[in-house]
Amino acid sequence: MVSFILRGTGQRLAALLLLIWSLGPVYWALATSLMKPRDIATSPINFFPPEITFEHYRKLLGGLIGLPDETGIWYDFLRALINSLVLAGGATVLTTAIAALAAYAAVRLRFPGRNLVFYMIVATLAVPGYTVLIPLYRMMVSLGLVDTYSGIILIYISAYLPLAMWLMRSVYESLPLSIEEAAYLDGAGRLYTMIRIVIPLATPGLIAAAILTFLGAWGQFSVPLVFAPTAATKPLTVLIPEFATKNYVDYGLINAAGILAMIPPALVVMFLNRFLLNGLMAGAGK
Amino acid sequence: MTDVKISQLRKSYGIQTALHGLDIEMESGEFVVLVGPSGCGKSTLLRMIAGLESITSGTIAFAGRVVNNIAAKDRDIAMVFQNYALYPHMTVRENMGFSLKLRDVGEAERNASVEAAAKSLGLGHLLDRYPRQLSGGQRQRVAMGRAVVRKPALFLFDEPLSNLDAKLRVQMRTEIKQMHKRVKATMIYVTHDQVEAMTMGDRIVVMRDGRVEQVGKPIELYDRPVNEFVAGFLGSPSMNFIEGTLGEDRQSVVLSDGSRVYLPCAVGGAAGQPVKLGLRPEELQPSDRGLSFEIDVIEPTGAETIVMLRNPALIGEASLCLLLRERYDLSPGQAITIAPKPGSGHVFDAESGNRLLPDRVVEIAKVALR
Repeated sequence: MVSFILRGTGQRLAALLLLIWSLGPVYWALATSLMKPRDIATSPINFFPPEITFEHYRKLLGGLIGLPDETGIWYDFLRALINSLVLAGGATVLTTAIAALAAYAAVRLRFPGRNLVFYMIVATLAVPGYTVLIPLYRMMVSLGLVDTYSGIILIYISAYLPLAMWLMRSVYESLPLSIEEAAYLDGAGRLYTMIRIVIPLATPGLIAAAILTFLGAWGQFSVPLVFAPTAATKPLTVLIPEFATKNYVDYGLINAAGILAMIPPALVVMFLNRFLLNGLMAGAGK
Repeated sequence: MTDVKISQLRKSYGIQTALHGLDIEMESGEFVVLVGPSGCGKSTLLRMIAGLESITSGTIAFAGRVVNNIAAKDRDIAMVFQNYALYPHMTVRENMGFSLKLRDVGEAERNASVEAAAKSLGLGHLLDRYPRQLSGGQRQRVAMGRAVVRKPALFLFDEPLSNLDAKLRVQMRTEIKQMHKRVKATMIYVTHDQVEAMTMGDRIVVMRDGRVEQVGKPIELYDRPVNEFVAGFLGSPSMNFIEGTLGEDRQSVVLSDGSRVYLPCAVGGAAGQPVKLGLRPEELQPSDRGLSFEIDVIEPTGAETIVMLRNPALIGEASLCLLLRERYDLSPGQAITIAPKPGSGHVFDAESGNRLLPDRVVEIAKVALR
């Protein structure tokens, strides 16, 4: 009985620690973003904002509601937000689509070197991104793709496709072949079977691949730092650190931007999560 | 309706050969059962007929037209899979109507066909359910319905009943036979269950190790198996084999303990040749004179009683199975003397396993139905 209580308490303690570990920084960012600059760097530190202010958020979003301040930061922020959405969204859609087709080919089509091609693609996961950054930069310069959406999205695809393909391959392998064969015998062609039968059944896998890709691309820093030098393509991850200047680190602004930057991926995950239905395959077989 | 002609059909996977040049002809409207132990190539053959498996050499022809190079989707075939292979994200109606939709059949006509098929299979009230909401037997019916709706020239069944419980299996067996009578299409049915083969087939193809062992009507195969394998495979409980040698009169078999079993007629083969005497469990009966055994186990099923007999001197550690329709007062450990019923007995060459007794001499008389 005592051990039972101890175990229950231990579990709760562990859960609490985990919660503080993962949500603590988020709270810290939120609290800081709501503090006046003079309350931020005090001793002893403030765990709660002594006085709540929205001035940082106003700086970032004021322009949208007709209240731009003199710094004009809102415009840069909005631009970077759009860039982030386009880059992460584009990479997600394309990576998922390519992975859906390529992994299917790797599982169902028979051609020489099928496994070799697949493993070569997946093996690139083991290559550290930083080692290819410089050769990649030279390549992108010669292709004229630096500071373009398509250039950065291409890099993202090459970075996230292997993981998505790997995931999709195991999803396809778990689908019974007989369902596809039944469709062929019903008179469906390969593509029709793929679109009407295979993809709907593989949806949970596609959603998981999309979430992973979106989160990865949204949080990317080193690639856009190199390949997105101007406001034309610069995403939030690169813009936000620029709020720390040589003379003044605007912690409040950085944290407010950080909080806002968390919202889109959270929305994407919440939205897509609804399609991660369990038991979609139930009833196909015996 | 179509006839199917398979000529010199071979299938190899690398150096492994799954099918060794099969020749089988199936008539239009016939119900043919492919039966054999697992790994005999029956499912491979079915999948080759369906177009799901490539052909290494030889031909498959439907109604005189070779279909080797025709894609599965264009062969006008319906197949019922062992695991049903229903589309889990579609309702029963959509599952059954999928093939018609692909053929651009209008919605009204499609619904009419689906509903007619569903009604004949007792699925009428389930049309808007998803496969996951159905029981195993209902899913099996949907899989059949999906095949029927199309009115294909050829139906293929790949062990469709093996996932059902025993009672449902018997019921579905009858329903498939009724469906065959109704739609009158050629049907090819794969099973490893010899009872299904015997009860359902117009003709049975017994396969082993990628070869056809025997083709014929169920009773022909049962009464005149061409070799020891077919004899042992068909029938439940299966045939008893007792080793011995052919007597000098070639009309008796001398067993290892010196006792002699007389055959209904002389058989081909040399006197003294090692043979196996095949006796079906129901071809044996208690008798005053005959072979002596000790009763090992008694299994009453109600309608009949299965009795396992032992005699180490005669058959070693194996058991001899006796099937009795009459009720006897028997108990384990009791001694019993049995003899073959008149006109029964099969003789196989001990080495090749081929049948020596040319024919069954005493035909079991068929009683005319008044």
